[in-house]
Amino acid sequence: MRLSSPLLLRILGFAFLAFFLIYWLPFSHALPDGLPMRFGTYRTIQASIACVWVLVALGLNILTGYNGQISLGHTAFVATGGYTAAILMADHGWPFWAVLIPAAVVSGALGLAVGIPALRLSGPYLAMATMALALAAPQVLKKYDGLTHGTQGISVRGDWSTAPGFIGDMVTQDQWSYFVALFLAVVMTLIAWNVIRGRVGRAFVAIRDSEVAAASMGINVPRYKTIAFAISAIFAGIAGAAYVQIVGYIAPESFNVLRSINFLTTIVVGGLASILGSILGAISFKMVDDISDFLPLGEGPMAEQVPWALYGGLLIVVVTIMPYGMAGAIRRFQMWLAFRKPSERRVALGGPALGIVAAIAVSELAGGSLGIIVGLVVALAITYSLWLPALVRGATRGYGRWVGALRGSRGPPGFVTSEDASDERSDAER
Amino acid sequence: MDELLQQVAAGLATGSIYGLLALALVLIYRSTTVINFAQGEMAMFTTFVAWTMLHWGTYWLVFILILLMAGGLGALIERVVIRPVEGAPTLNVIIVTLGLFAIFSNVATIVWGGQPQAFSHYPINDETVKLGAVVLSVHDLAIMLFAALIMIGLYVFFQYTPLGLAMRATAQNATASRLMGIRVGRMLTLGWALSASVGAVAGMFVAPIVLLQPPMMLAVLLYAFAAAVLGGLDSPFGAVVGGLIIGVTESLVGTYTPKEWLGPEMALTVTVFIIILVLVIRPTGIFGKRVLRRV
Amino acid sequence: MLAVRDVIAAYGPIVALHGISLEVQEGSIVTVLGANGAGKSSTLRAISGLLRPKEGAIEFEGRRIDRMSAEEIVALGISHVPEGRQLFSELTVLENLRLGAYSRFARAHGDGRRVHREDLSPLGRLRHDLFHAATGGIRDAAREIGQYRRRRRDFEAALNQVFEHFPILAERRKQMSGTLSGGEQQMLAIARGLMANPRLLLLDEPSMGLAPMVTQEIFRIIETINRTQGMTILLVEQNASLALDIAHRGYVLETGRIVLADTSENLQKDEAVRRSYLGY
Ligand SMILES: Nc1ncnc2c1ncn2[C@@H]1O[C@H](COP(=O)(O)OP(=O)(O)O)[C@@H](O)[C@H]1O
Ligand SMILES: [Mg+2]
Repeated sequence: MRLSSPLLLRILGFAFLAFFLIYWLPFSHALPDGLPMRFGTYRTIQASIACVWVLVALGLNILTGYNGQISLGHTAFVATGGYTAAILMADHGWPFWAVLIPAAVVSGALGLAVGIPALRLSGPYLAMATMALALAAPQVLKKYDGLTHGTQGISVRGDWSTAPGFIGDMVTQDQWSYFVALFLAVVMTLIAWNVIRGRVGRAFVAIRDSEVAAASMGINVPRYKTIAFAISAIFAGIAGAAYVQIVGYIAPESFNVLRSINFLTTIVVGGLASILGSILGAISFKMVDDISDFLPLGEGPMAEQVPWALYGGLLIVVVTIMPYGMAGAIRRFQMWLAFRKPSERRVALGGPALGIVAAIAVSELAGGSLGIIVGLVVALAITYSLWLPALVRGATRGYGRWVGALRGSRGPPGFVTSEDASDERSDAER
Repeated sequence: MDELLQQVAAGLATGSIYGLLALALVLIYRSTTVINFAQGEMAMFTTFVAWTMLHWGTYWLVFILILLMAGGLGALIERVVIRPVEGAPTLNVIIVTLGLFAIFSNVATIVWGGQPQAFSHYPINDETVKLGAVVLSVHDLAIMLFAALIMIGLYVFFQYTPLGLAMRATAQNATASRLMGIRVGRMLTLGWALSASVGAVAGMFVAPIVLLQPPMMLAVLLYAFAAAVLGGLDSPFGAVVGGLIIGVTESLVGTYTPKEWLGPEMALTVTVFIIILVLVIRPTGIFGKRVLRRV
Repeated sequence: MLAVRDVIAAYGPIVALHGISLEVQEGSIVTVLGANGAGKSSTLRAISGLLRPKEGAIEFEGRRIDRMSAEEIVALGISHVPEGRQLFSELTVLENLRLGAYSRFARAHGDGRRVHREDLSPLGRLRHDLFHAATGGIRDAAREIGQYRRRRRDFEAALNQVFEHFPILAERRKQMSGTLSGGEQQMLAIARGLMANPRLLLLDEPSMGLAPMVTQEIFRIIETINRTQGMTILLVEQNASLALDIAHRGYVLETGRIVLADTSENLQKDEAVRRSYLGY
């Protein structure tokens, strides 16, 4: 079997991924003392929360990306799932595995209940209505404190979060939480994948593209739109339960409107209507929190604000030059790759792969940040010669678009025509 | 009865602020079908600039300067970050405005700190005026006055000036507008400039009430969004009326619902659910156009 | 007056015009015939600046216009009455006509002083654009106030002239244009084009979707406009017999290429044209 064989590459890729997720992320903090927090359990928790966001993003992408219904209210579903789990665990002593189902069911039921009035709404009107949900959630949670413990929140750290039997001796609670979250993320990704590829998923997409056409094909539009809401809410509910299990605490303000809006950002940046996009978006979103660890900002407000200001700028740049998100950019890279010679393809893929190996190896020996830098350098060095023309072309294309728009004309010549044409079509439709 | 009147009047005052920011949202929405989520933060930012400028200028001078600067800021934003995503999916443009949101709110915190500041140079003092049974602060009256003036001004502008007409035309049919010789891009820029100025007025009036601080416009923006939606999104008039309705509803819900299970803390929740109810009955708002379903 | 030379134009990857050449003499009516999708509308769009040619040249009164924007071209005196009318359907008849006259004052000013941004250095362009962004609206407004009287007089004159051709529009001036009948809408579209006081009028399928009687009425008016005002007209039509009746010259377009060019009389006699476009 030759090295360029797609199967082998894929196996290697998955092996790396598995190694990275299952060993390196949770365990590699067994490193020399004196390393900053980010290489300790802190990073494990960060990774666990990234898994939770992946769950939310998957669900939201099913609703918004595949079914075309916008939601700015997903924190309400996450909070519902989270509170269901927390109340059952803290006040009724249920074990974590047992609360997953009720969390999913209660949140899913809320999703159904929201999905029905949502049938009448679309676009910004739906965005407003769902955002109202996210706004209301903390207030409701604070007000009816008999059930929810009000503003003080619910603390649920306990025995149940320790791994069972001999595993418990091998991993800490945080590591165990991470594995639980990772497991949920993997399982739910597979479920999402199945939903999307199946009959239901095709119905979702047909409805998104044209409700009238979908109805004329015999699809029960209201039913599937409501189902999309419910499925999406189930994902969010499970995410909420997982969140409680990781953080051990939930309060009304854990999920505010801004979070909700950020969820939407996540899937657009990752790529709408893409499972890979949901995952990438969620992880990169989580990374923003961690940027402050890597920038020399010290402590205090600067460390809080600067990453988010940068994040804002990055958002603008990303959606401008990658209109279909990270998943769209990867698709374009694959297209580009498909037209390369096999030898070139090998180098192009081998570079990043070797880079990952180098990163892991070096960080095991000398520490995380150095490993990441070395890995980057290796990856870049190997792929540099081959990627350069494409990188430059890609960058200048984005730049050209930008400059063209700045010029006040509607883009540079050649660009103008198709854009204007589409403009005209939408005008004519009005 | 007097109590009711008082509550309605108070609601109208806050409602005017929501209405102003809603108006700003609508000015952008109707030409680009984009909700500018950065609207509130832009207003907050310009209000902070005003606060800084008040150290050396008188209030009304600063007020005028800030309106102009806000207009410039709006125009600049349209040119530099919105124009490049013109023609991209609407969600992308919305994400760009969210990016602006993050930039403005965080940069403001970096520059001016997160501490609430008293917006104390405010010349319209806290004196109250008695109108029949209703007692209103001068500030509240000023808010309503300005909201009304801006409404009338914009109405005259859009209805009776060629430039306003050109802007309305651009919002309806961009290609045909170009054939008329209208510089569509410039109209969009102008729309953003106007919108930012109107938003800046809202910011100047919010700051004395809630103290000047980076998150001060967040709740106002959400209410304004609700107001704009309630009004139908492409109707400036509807936006202001929507704002007033929300202001009054909020005030009444806070006062007249049972404290044990609703009351003031739930005013927001009840209000937004009333809005949802309205939307379910009229899916494009009270003054919105009926949209035809397209194949 | 107008010369189109070897123009190639495309919508993204779809090439609509494969090298079109045509000429329009001052004072004449020239018609472009062709089936659906032949590229007739694209030709007009290329002339009016909505579709930028990839190659070739377009000259209007000796001036290259193929690199100009649509806004500049209408100010030079070319009015495009687009296919499907493209009225501002939620504005009144009068407001539509006002918008038709919008380009006039852009022409009355700027022209001599106008800086062509293409001639500037990149940095100069950036400054120019940013300056425009900040001041464009204000300047427009200031100009309007300054020229209010003259503008108003010119506008009233143009309005009266247009109402002479289309008296029905005078009656409907306060009506929302979307509520007009098809024929009235087409009349309004042409009237709106005339309000710019153009020297060349581009008409794209004025007969589209209209009853034969109404179509004839509109064609009669088009001919009158040409005869009485000496208006030069480039008329795109599928209704070949009507178009050739009023036109002086005609071009036949097939899949983005000119296949025939001759006087109307000769085209009416041409065997191929008769069979394909006149149907007898
Ligand atoms: N907006 C557009 N996008 C892509 N292709 C277009 C567009 N408009 C026209 N075309 C194509 O260009 C060709 C010429 O179209 P057009 O000029 O509208 O023809 P005509 O006006 O003669 O019917 C056709 O093949 C058509 O499919
Ligand atoms: Mg055509």
